[in-house]
Amino acid sequence: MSVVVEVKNVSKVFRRHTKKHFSIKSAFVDFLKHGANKKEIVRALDNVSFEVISGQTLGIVGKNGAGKSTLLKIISSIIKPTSGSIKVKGSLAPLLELGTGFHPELTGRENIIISGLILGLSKKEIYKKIDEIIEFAELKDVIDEPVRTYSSGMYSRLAFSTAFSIDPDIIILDEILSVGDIAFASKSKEKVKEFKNKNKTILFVSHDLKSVKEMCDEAILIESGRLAKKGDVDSVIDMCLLPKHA
Amino acid sequence: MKQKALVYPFYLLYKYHYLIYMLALKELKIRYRGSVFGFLWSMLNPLLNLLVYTFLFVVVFKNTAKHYPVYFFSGILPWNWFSLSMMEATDSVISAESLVTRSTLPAEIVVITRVVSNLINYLLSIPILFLFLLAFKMKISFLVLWLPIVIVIQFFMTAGFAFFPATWNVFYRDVRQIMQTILQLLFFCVPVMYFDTQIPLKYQKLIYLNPIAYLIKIYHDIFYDNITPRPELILLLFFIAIVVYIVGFNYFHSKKDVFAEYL
Repeated sequence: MSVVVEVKNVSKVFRRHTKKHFSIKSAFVDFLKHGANKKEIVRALDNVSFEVISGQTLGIVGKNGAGKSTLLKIISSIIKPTSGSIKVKGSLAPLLELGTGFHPELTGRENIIISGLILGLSKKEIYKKIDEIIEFAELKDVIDEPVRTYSSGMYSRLAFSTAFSIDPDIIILDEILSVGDIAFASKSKEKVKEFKNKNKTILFVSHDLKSVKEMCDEAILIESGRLAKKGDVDSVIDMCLLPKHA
Repeated sequence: MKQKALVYPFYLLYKYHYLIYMLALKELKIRYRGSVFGFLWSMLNPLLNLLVYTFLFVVVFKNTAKHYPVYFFSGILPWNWFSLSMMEATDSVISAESLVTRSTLPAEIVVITRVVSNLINYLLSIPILFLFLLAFKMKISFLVLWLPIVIVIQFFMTAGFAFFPATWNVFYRDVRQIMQTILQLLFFCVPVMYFDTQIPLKYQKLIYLNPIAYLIKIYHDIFYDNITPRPELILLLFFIAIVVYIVGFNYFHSKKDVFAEYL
């Protein structure tokens, strides 16, 4: 059993959190007020450490804004931690949203190709898998129509099937299981279980504690940037359900 | 480390060439969405422009320069490629926000894509230029064989320059506004509308400090003056283009770690 993801003393501090549009003017104003923006520091993650073992499915739970997404982005090396270190062994694919690179004007088929390439598949792989993806999404009849004509359920199915055509060692799933109708939701759960059976490592984030319980062996609870608990999935979820955490 | 900085910019192009191509086509497809003629607009637009300008220059202003419309068009088409690429690249990181903040795709790709989509646009307009050459009874010599080399040079130069405003615009959205004015100013500093011989000698030297001006001159050599471009000039421009590309790429690369926090 080897450690494939090692998160060590990771902290992340965001500045100017409240300012979305930064401009030369506001930079100048801040410069004059000198240090006015020091107050706007937000500590998104505070000294978080944990390890994930190869083949494990780790659930990550916590309230909105607790720092889960920041943690996932740091593990996927989309953003850098302010301090601390991350080690990842093997290929890692983050699925942080459904429909990476999708555009409504393109057809379903074109979206599969572009999205698949962005997720890291080669040209050859994507053309090999495309029929399988279309079949899994149950969209054979409309695959050459622009995606803007799809219902939201059809869109989710297309996005999900495309995302799961990848074959990494470690996969990060951020709230993307509860898509489509009930039948498709169970089909997609099967897909995740298939990944699990192939002994892939999964980091699984969800607000749906029931599916966390069903999927994961262990879990961690993140609370205002801190690692509040790590342990087997039942005990973490029990703690999650205590009134002060709910 | 040093070696990586030199090789990686080209490796990335090679590794993602198919994705870049697909994304560039997507840009064009979106640009022409809903139109009956679709991609044909990449040819129709320059054709219509050409007719308007010919009328303006030849009939209204009675410009006496020989085949002036051909001169103008052999320069304005590559200039448009450059200027549209710069403009779109400036916005590219911001408009690809979800890719930059939620996928591991190298953000350099979205900048390069804009240069490629406008390159495709330029390539589609070349047949119109040929038609025009024929209409003016000018010969299309095999100087045209120089064209691919010039295009490669312009590609690397444009992409290299584009990385700078693309980076700055993430931190200061004002860059986008300034770019328009800078490009306009630059346009008048490059001999596209006028002949370089029409301006005082001391300014001529100034104008040719700009590598884009040299590029445009080579396009004129090929299409209008029918003279072989000076090989040492081509070599020099090629060298400059590669340097600009490597420097621009690495500058962008060194700043992109914090992009996700500014979007």
